Formats: sequence, structure tokens, C-alpha cells
Amino acid sequence: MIAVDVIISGLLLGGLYALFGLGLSLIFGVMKIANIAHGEFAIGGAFLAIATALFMGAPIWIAVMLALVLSFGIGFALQLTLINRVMSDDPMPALLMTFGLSIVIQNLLVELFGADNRSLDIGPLATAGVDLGGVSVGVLPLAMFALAIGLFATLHWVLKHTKAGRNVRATSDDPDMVGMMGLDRARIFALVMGISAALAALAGIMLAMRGSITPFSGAERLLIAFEVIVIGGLGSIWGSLLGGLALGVVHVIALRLDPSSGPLYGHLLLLAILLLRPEGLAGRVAQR
Amino acid sequence: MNRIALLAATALLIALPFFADRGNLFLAMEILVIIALSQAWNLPAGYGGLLSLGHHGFIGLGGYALYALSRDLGLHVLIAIPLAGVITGLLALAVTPILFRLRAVYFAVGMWVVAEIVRILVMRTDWLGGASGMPLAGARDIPRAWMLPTAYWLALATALGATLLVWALMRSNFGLRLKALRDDEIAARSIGVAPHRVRLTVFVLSAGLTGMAGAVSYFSALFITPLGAFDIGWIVTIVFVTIIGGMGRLSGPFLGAALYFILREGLADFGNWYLIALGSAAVTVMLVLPGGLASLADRLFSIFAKPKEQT
Amino acid sequence: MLEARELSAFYGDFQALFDVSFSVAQGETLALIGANGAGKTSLLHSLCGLCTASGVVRVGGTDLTGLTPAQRAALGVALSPEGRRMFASLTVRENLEIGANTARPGPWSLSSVTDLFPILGEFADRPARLLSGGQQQMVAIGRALMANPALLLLDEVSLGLAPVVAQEVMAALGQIRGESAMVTILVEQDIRRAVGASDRFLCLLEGRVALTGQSEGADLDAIGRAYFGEENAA
Repeated sequence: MIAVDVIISGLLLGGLYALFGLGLSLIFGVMKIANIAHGEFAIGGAFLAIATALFMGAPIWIAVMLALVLSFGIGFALQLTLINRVMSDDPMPALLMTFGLSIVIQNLLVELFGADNRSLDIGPLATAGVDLGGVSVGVLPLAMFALAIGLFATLHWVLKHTKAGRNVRATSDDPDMVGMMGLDRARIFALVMGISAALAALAGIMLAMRGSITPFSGAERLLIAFEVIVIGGLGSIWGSLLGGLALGVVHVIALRLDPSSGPLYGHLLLLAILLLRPEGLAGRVAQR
Repeated sequence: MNRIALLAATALLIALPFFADRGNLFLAMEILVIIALSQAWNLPAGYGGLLSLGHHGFIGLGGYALYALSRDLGLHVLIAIPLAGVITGLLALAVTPILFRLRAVYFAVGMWVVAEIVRILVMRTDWLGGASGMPLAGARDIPRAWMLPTAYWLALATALGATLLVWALMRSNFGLRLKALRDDEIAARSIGVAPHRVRLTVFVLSAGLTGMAGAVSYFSALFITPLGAFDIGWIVTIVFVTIIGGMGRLSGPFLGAALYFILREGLADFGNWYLIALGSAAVTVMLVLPGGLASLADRLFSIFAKPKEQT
Repeated sequence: MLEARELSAFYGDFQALFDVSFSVAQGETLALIGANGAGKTSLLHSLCGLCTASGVVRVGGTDLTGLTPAQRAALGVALSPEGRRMFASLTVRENLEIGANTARPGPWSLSSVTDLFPILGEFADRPARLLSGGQQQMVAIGRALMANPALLLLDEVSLGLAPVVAQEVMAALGQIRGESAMVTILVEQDIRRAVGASDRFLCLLEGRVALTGQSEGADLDAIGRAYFGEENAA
């Protein structure tokens, strides 16, 4: 029998996974492209926070805020100056370009920070625990989980109820028509990429708080983000949450039963979903 | 004239082991392996729009197939290497029922996941030496002094074979169907192109060629580890070489590989900077020269060949 | 007013429009007539900046050359496109409101549009994709009106609609005709309907002007011959 605490820690990890998927899901949904540099955005964001906290001695929350703002700016600028110029009905040039960017970012991180493991030290909070109906749960994972859920709800609300959100949805529906509404599609894409990069950076920062990262950690986060959105089902951001939770639970159970398996069972879950339920857990009949 | 030049160049390449030193011969072999791999990747990606980011999985599979065939069946390496390509092709065929459910970008990343699965499975398989890898049992099939020349000739044969295959395919009716499918699937279907069969064929051919090139590469290494054989660096090199050289162009892998090795050797003392330079070059090429260096070569050629004509 | 001089339109290597010149006075409606592929939609697209074009376009004295669709929209060019092109995941209200994104002053607002098309007020909170074809057409027209346009472009507003629904849409357009300084260009396949709803007409044939004139008292047979490219059309 699988204990309750395994499920709980799986769900808590899944919240973080879902956050990795959220930004990528936004990109897929609005621009219909894949951002291969998503993992590097996450890890790069974490390194920005580490650098600010470590080398400049800034308080952790300032470091985090600064990293998020910078990540937004980097995502925004890359989209506006580079990726927009290869956007067309064919998603492949954008995929290849972000692939190129991911390698550039990854190796810049290696040159700047070396290949060692690094983490973001947040003091005693990292190890604090709380008793939840007989099950001991870490305060940090719990707070991260709550934050992830909160971000899903916030993004949902912004997309649904604000003018900017409406414009983003319209761009997703018919990017060729929004120009006639006086909207600049290129800037909307840049805005979405900026938000996606900031969300990725936040997920990367959380990862660096929970454990440790190297400049090479990006690729695995990209695959996790990808699996989250395919498992959850394309087309809805809530699908990404479901996909993240499913993946988190599978990873934690697998690590308990087969400690050397790494991300293997998560990858296999993806294949199983493709075989049995190609539209994903929450998906409608989606086009891929 | 053109044909004579090509034959002379080929003869020169075949004779290279007799006058190049070990270091240069090894480098030449590496270049040829990269050309073969890029040619194989370019076939579905450049000509067919079927882009995979998991071809490093096929390199590892080809390498491990060679090592297993050599050790467990005692096959001579010269037989085991082509057979490793066949086995890789068949394994690729086996994953298509699942992976071909994904389209375009999803397929590209999905293949990456498959490569990861294969890497982890190999690392966990004691029969294949687990995480620490295994030596090449068939190393004694070839006299020591002839190891590197043999590896070089095998790489040359694979690179030229892959190039010839792509060239022949693209001149055939099959090549026309492949390109029609890339440019407009609905229109291609309407003229009777069967998308699934065409994609399956190029994908399996590409995987087989990649597996064989991987086997050649690890034949010269004499030892294989999962970390090296399934390294993401392989696909990074292949993608950059092909983009810079020219997607969907026969001369692309040659030109891209040339720039790759110039940058790698030129920046050898500067750590990972050659990868940063290469990635930046790929991004720049996509922005200013979408057809890659091959299209630049075409343009220069047409300027010199017909100076008066304007389009 | 709208003035177009030597307007040509290109899609890649394909030229769809050849040196078309015309002008429309303030408050007037021009009907654009022509067979499929005659260049009607290309003409609208070249006015909107949605395709590569050469020539000069002036709206109320402002030169639009080289401007993006968004910049033209801000200057008052609004399009109700062929096929409606609803923003499918937006509600009816959101579809209308996004039309007012350029915030141009004028008579049109959510309430005046829903006065013109009462059904849109009723269905304001429904996703636009769930509406019928005729209702979606009303949303498309309403969305364009919300921009308080100086130049209103209506592409095939009756296409694919049941005759009675098409009649309803055309009647609504009749109500607003000539009320303001707005210039309207109406693309319409049905020659009789086109002439009935406009002040002037312009018939295109293979990307060139075949015939143009006053709508009132126009010779429908002559237009018909121009439409099909028969000799002696003029």
C-alpha cells in the first residue's frame, strides 16, 4: 500500500511541476510554437536570483523579485528582437531558434557560474515542518504548492477578466485579425513570452530552494514542462495543473519503489498517455 | 568536368590515411561522422519537415548494438556495424506507433523524451555494462595499426553513402512526395501521397543511418558509456551544423560541418565558448540567411556563372 | 473621403490587383462588384495593410502608405472580414469591445451597436463561436462599427446566409447608410443587391477596373457583362 505521505509529497512536487508547465502551456496556446529554451529560462532565472543573493548580498525576496523582472525583460526582448522574426504558419523555425537560444544560455551560465551544483539558501524555513493531520509536511513545499495554485488562478483570472487577457485570447484565436483591432501582435507575443519566462524563472527559483541546480538542469525541466502539458491535455491551463500533479505523484511513487529510476517513469507515463488517451487527462480532442 | 573533380576529391579522401598523421586522421573521421549524422537528420527534417530532437538516442542505440553484436554473437565489426544500423532502424520503427501520434513540435520534443528513456534503460541494464559502459570486444578483429584508418574509411563510406542516398531519394518520385508533404500536406494528400508511409520510410531510413554512423563513431572509441553515447551534445551539433549549412540542401551538412570544426578547433582553448558561438551563428543564420550557407554558395555561384542575368 | 491611386496588391509572387484608382466621397457607399478572384478582397486587404501593396491610399487626407494594419486601424480603417473571423473564445461582448480598442470618438458604442442588432445584446455573454452564421455576421459588422471608423470595409456580409437573414443584415446597413461622414465599401456578389445598397459601384475583372458609375439607375446588364468580362462592356 502506498502511504498517504507519499501521495502528499507527490502532489506538492506536482505543484512545482505544474508551474514549469504553466509558462510553456501559455506559449503553446497563444503562439502555437514550442519554446525549447523554457528550461533555460527557469534555470537562468534561478541563477539570476542566486547571483543577486550571493554576490550582492541582497535579501532573498529582493533577489527573487529582481530575477523575475529581469527574466520577464529577457523573454520580452528575445521574442521582440529574434523569435518574432521567424514566426509564421510553420512552427519549426521558432522551435529551432529557441533550441539555439537554449544552448547559448546554458553555456553562458556554465561560463559565468561553472558547472557546480548550486542552491538558493533560505535559512531555517527550508527545513521547517508542519503537522497536517498526522502527516509531517515541509512548510516550504506547502507554501510553494499554494503559490503555484495561486498563480494558476491568477493567470486564469487575468486571461478571463482583464483587457490585456482578452487581447491575448484574441491573438490566440486569430493572430492575423488582431492588427485590425489596432493591436500590435508582435508586442502581445513579446508580453506573453515575458510572462512565460517570469513564470519559468519562479519555478526554477523554487527548484533551487528545494534542492540544487546546475546550468545543465534546464533540459530535464523542459521535458517535465512538456510532459505536464501533454499529459494534462492541451488547450486549458487547468489541464497543466492536473498534468503536473499526476507527474509529481508518479515521480515520488517511482522514487520510493525504484530509487534509481530518475525521471524514467514520468517519461513512460507520457508514452502511456499518448497510447491510451492522446487528448490528455483533461483535454478535449486537441490538435497537435 | 564536375564529375572528374568529384572523383578526384573522393580518391584523395580514400587515400588520406596514407599521408595524414593520426591527429588529423581522427579529426577527419569525426568530421565525416558529423556529416553523415547531419545528412541523416536533414533527410526527414529538412526535406520532409519531420523534425526530431531525439536522434542522439539512435546514435547511442547504434553504438550499443555494435558492442552487443560483437561481444555476444562474436560478429566481425565490419558486419556488425551495418547490422547496428539495421537494428536501430527497426527499433525506430517500433516507437512510431506511439510517436507518430504527435505532430510537428510535439513530435520533435517527444523524440527527445524517447531518447531519454532509452538512455535511462541502457544505464540500468547490467548486460550492457550499466552506467559504467563496456569495452569493444571486437577490437581484436582489426590489427591495431589499421584501427584508425578502418574507422576513417567506414566514416567516409557512411558519409558518402548517406549523401548519395539523400541525393538519389530527392531525385526520385519519393523525394517529390516527401517535399510535397512538407510544403502542403492537404494538397499532397489530394494528389495521392500517403503521408504516413512516406514519413515512416524517411524516419526509419534516417534512424538507421544515424545508428550506423553512431556505430562507426564508437567503433573508433573502443569503449562506450551511456553518458557519452546518449549525450544531448550530439543532437546539438547535428542541428546547428544542418541549420548553418542549410536545411533541406545536400551541401548543407558539408558546409555546416566545416564551420562547426573551424569554430570548435579555433576556440578549443576557451571552454564552452565554441558552443555559444555556434548557437549564435545558428540563430543569426536563421534570421539573415534561412537557406543556410548552402544558399549563400548557390547565390555566389549564380552571380559568377551568369553575371548578366537579373531576376 | 477615400482616395486610392494606382493600387496594386501582391501575395508573394502573385499579383492580385493592377493599378486600380478610385475615390469615394464622405458619407458615400461604394459597392465593389466582381466574380470570385476578381480582386475584391485583395483591394480591401491592400487598404487594410493586410497584403503587400503599391500605390497611394489616402483616408481623409492622411496617407496610409507603409503603415501597419494596427496603425491604419488607429486612423479609422475597420474591416468586417470575409468568413466573419470571430475571436472564437471571446464572448459577443468581448468581440464588440475589442473592436473599440483604438478608442476613437464617435457615435458607436456597445449600446448603439446592440440597438442596431438587438440579438447581440441578448447574447452578449455567450461565446461568439456558439452563434449562428447570421448572428456572427452581425458581430463582425458591430465589431467594425465599434471602432467608429472613417472607412468601413464590409467583405461579403451576405455570403452563406439564408436569404431572410441576409435581408435583415442588409436592412441594418441601410439604416446607418449616409448618417455620418464615414466612407463605406461593400463587397457583394449579388449585383442587384450591391447596386441597391450603394451610391456608386466599381466592377473588377481580373484585378482591373472593368466598369464604374453611379448606382442609381445603373445598367445592370452592362454591369453583368463587365462582371463576366464580355466584350463592349462599357
